[in-house]
Amino acid sequence: MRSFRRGAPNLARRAASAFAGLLADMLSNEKTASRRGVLQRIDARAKVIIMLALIVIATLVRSVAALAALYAACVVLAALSKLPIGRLARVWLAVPLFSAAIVLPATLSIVTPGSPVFVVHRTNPALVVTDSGLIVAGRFVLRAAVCVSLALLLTATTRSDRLFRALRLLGVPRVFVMLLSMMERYLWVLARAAQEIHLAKVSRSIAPGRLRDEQAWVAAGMGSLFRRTRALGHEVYLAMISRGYTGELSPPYQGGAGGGSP
Amino acid sequence: MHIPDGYLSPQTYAPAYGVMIPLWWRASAVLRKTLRNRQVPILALGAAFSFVIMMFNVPIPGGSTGHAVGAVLVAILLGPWAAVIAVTLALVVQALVFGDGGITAIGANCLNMAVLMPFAGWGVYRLIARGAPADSRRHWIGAAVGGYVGINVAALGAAVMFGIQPLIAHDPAGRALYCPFGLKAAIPAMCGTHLLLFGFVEAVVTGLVVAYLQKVEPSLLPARKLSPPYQGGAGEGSGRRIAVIVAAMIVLSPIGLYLPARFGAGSAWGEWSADQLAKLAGYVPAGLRHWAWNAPMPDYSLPGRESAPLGTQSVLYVLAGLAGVALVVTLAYVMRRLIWRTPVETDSSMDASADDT
Amino acid sequence: MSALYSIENVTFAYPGHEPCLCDICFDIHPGERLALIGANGSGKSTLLHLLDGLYFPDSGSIRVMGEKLTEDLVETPPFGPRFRKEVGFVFQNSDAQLFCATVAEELAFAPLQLGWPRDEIGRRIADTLDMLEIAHLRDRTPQALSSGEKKRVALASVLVVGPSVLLLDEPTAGLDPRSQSILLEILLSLHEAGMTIIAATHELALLDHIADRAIVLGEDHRVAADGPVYDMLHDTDLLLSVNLIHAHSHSHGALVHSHPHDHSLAHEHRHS
Repeated sequence: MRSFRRGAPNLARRAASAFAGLLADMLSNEKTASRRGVLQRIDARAKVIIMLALIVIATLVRSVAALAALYAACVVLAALSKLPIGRLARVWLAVPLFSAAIVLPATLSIVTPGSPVFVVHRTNPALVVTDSGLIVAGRFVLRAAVCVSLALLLTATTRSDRLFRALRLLGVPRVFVMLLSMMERYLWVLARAAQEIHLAKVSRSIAPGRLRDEQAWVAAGMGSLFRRTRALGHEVYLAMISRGYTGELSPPYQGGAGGGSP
Repeated sequence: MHIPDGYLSPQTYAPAYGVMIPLWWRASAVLRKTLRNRQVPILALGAAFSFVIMMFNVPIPGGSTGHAVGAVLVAILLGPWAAVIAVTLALVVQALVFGDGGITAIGANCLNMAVLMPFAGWGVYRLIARGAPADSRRHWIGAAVGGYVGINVAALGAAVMFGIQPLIAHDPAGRALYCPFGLKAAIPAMCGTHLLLFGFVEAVVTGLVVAYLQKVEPSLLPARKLSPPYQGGAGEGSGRRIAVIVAAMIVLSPIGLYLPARFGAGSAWGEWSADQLAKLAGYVPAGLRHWAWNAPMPDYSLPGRESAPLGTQSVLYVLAGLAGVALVVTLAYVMRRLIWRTPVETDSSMDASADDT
Repeated sequence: MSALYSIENVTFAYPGHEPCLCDICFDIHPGERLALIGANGSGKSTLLHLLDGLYFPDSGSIRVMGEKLTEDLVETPPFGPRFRKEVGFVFQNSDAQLFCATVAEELAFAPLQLGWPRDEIGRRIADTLDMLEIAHLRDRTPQALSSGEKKRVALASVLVVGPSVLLLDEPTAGLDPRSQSILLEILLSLHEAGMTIIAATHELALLDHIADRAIVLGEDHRVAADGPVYDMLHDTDLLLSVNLIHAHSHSHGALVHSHPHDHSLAHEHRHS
């Protein structure tokens, strides 16, 4: 949770830029996925299987050393795939740090008993960090870090429509893949609409209002976004009908340059 | 509330997928029948909407902002089965497009946020707003209460998932392999924060949006033909009786905590055996039962147990009990849909909307 | 020449709303360029939806290609697919019209739904992209294009199956001047190749570029006039009465005069 001091325009402006950030992330994914790096060259279907297998393996591994090695491998792969540090750091650092913060109390003897490593506070009984505590915490943080790095390596080096299509290999039904694909595209449209809603607020606000009014305004924003969503959903349906859609989805068309996976 | 990878053991996340797969299948079947050709555009956009509203900053007292999950809102506006699919898609896109991780945990997260939350919240909304005219207060009140209950049920689900990790996954030396905090820490931490703070954010958002739509475009709110909640079963009267009995049980459960403390049974608080407790109160909270069986293992002493006053713990138990009942009611409802295949109510909100020229 | 479309006493209202079309009657002949004009809310967009078999009249009938257009008819072969191929609709909102992952897929949607063979589809896509000069956009994501490019992709996705009737809802809305003129040129060449074009618009400046005949819908949701575009444009009383132009006052020193004013047409100042 972030705090704001100057009130309504600041809040709306930050929210508007959050949506702008969403759109920027989607664009940057397209960009990084088209760079000529090591991971980008691997076919989407193989990548999905391999990366998911690696993530599952990471959740099974017990040795801290093995997890650390996996993490190092991820860093190397990220560099070889020409992924920008800044974009990754947000996820790559944020998740491990957050996990570390959560698991900190587990290093103490009251959670994980073991031989004391150093004393935090001389009370009776003393608050000490135990060796077992460090292992448990270290394993936890490393595992979270490895898993999120692998996931990010997969998503940042693969175009989303190819990624979704590769899910068919895992038995995901065609309808879901089509839904994912369409949903992602309309995320773009709705995020822009949400951004507009907030920017309109920025241009109208001078001083922060009462909490209740501000909350009502956010709710109105969501409500109007829903109305737009319903209307747009209905329009898309009409557009599909107009081009011959009868309810049965034919397999997506791939032909010519840039075809790729089924 | 989104559980990342690495927090849950395979023994937890794999069965979660196992539970979700028939639910996803059932949701698609229901929606294909009710929405027919419109299924694809309505669901795709509903999912995009679910994703985007999770990003809205909601101002809360104290000058900060929070976020709402919105699953109950989507369930009220599009129906609970549509919410299952929409929230699932939002979670999948969050993991697979934005690299926010939580891929192995998708099943578990869906169980909490795409099933428990929408069904529990929608069930409460229906209980309160059933049959009310479109401009009645019961709609937004039901929505707000539904939002509150829904997110707390989801929080309880997540808390249980976290809390059982040290019990079910540890290395030969007894050290936890995944989340190291047990139920005694996870439940108060998750449920406490959601009961006291996040629940209200969710309630405010859900209630206010429904109130806004009631004013601006009431036709968007579902005006369903409602069927009785328990087909062929008890009528309203016996339903109320059962509710009273269950409520009494929940309220009385802390007595099992007070009596032994009063009579000095057991050396430290919490180190009772399960049968001792059963003798005293006739009711053993599930978390305590798990915990008690593994008492010999040194792992399972939890932080804060000595310091938390008995009163606070009791309050939390009562509240956890309430959430537990909501959980059970939800599961019963879901099972009823799956197993007994009760006919799906027609949802007139899905019909062609009256768009302007 | 027999009529392509016969619209007889059509009345329509969205569920729960006031009627937005009342007792509409007119015919459309093959090869015509028709404009439906009227102020916002007059029902012209809805009329296009009715002509495309997306909604159906509450009373009255629409006959097209010799058959009365009903929901059943438009959903069953052989008329259904034939109708979808012959009539194309370009929506006002390109975001609703473009729902596929790439431009190529967008163009492939309609032929795939109609069951065309894949090699034929490939050829038609290439030809259509070339005709509209958007071949360089083939693998792009439609949602990320500029409004002019989106409009051309939307048009391409409709033209790819070779319709003989083209319905357009506010085709130049939101387009920059250059995209507008490109679009108008495309429409002109399509018409010269024999296509029937029916466009709804409230922009009077476009009228003589895109149509020979105009049907004016009034705010009472009825046909206010039906005739050559030239006559409509110069009937200022008519245009005033249907709220397509406004009258305004301005002063020259001590003199104040008012006149009907549409910014796109040449108008006379008559000083009284």
